[in-house]
Amino acid sequence: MDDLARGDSAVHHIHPLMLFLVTIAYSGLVSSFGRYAIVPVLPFVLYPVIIFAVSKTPVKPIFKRALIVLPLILGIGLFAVIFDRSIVYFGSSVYYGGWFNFASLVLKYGLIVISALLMMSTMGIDRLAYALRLIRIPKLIVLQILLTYRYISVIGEEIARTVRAYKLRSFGKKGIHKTAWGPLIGQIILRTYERSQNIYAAMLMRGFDGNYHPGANIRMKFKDIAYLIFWIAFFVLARIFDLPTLLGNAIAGVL
Amino acid sequence: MSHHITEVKNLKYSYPGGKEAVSDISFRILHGESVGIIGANGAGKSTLLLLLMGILTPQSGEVVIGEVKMTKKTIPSIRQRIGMVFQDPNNQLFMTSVYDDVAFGPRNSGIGEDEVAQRVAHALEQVGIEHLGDRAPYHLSEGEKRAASIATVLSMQPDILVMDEPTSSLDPQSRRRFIKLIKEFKHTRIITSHDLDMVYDTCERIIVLKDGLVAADGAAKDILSDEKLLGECGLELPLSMQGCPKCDADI
Repeated sequence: MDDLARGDSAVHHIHPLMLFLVTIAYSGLVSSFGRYAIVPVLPFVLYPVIIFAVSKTPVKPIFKRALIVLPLILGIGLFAVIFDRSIVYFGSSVYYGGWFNFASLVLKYGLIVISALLMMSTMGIDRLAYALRLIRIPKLIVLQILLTYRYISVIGEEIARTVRAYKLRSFGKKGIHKTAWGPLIGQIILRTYERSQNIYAAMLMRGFDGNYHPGANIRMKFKDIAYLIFWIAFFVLARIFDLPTLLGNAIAGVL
Repeated sequence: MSHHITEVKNLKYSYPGGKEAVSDISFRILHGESVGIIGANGAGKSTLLLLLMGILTPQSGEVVIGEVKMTKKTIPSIRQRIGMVFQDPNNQLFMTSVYDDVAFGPRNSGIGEDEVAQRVAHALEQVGIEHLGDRAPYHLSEGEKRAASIATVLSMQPDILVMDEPTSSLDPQSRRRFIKLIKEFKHTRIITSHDLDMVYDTCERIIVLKDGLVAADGAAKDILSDEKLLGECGLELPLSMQGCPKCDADI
């Protein structure tokens, strides 16, 4: 994601605060749709499609990461299928509401996750931190976000090393035996703690005093504000009016 | 040049478990000196460096950098004058790009972004990795990581460079490049290592630690050729001083 964020497209040059606000507005409006809404949500697919195209962000790594949260979305969706026993009328047909609810959930939250990943891949964690500080999010919280992001890779490395060491001495047995779970988790926690202490010491050595300095101030330009206005206007229109139905009716009227 | 003197007086430190890592260490390092601190595992080298940087607080004794005694109040200003290169460069590279990592220290010191850019460019150039500025640190090779971690310290323009096992995990050519680089620096250098050949190549003075005490302190050529002393301290002669096994066999 950090490599993608160093891209050089028009989207990458948009002020990080605008990218952040557009993503927040997008997520808020998409999640505000009713539980059976599918067709009215479809215009919102345009946003990620356009951002993918303009920012030249490869689709594969974004979808791969989106897949990580897919089981969670599917899990919530399945609850909707089980517990939502209502009936939905679609045209002249009658359908079981649970499945509509499921499809709507997957569509909406899938789009939100992809938009968040696109935001990260076009501005990176440092510019996100900068945007958060601009809207007066306390520096302690911003710092927590930054350090958590840094430590994810540290924890990942420690887990990989510990699991590799276990596997080398487990003589081809699959998985990790339940008796080893306790010591392994303990080891990983201790080693991660030690590693994070070393990183913190390295930060202190270089004058870290609890304040994060992201570098030069990024100046807001007219194009940044235009970007925000354009997308917010589109999202609000798409939220208020059922654009696919209106478009369908208009085409049907002409024909 | 008394402001660049590093002085350690009767330093003592025990870890919370009770293990005494540093028993009583004193030395004085002058401006521009290149000093190797050697010793077997557990001799107290790494603890000494942590005390020198103010990461650990000694139970007794003091560290004086220039004319400033290290206290909680003076630690921030002292850390601006000492740059420490960690044994594991992964601990030192925590930003998303090499540039941001090298800029981390200067930005914390509050200087303008133009000067930060100049310092970063100069530091990257000094270690020969100006082409890696935009790369993510975790994508670099070990040699490149080591160079980047040195650049993160050089950009702070320290008076004193402290390095903990700087050649560990470097391949022979990267190690050779590193030795050449270190020899070019004019800073005061304090290097701890088990790589005695590197220490011999880069340091004119050696301090040998044993069980938390200074076992010897003198010229590198004298100490590193003293087989008896090195043996008593759990060390061996540097390979370059052990003679050629093939020639010895021929004789």
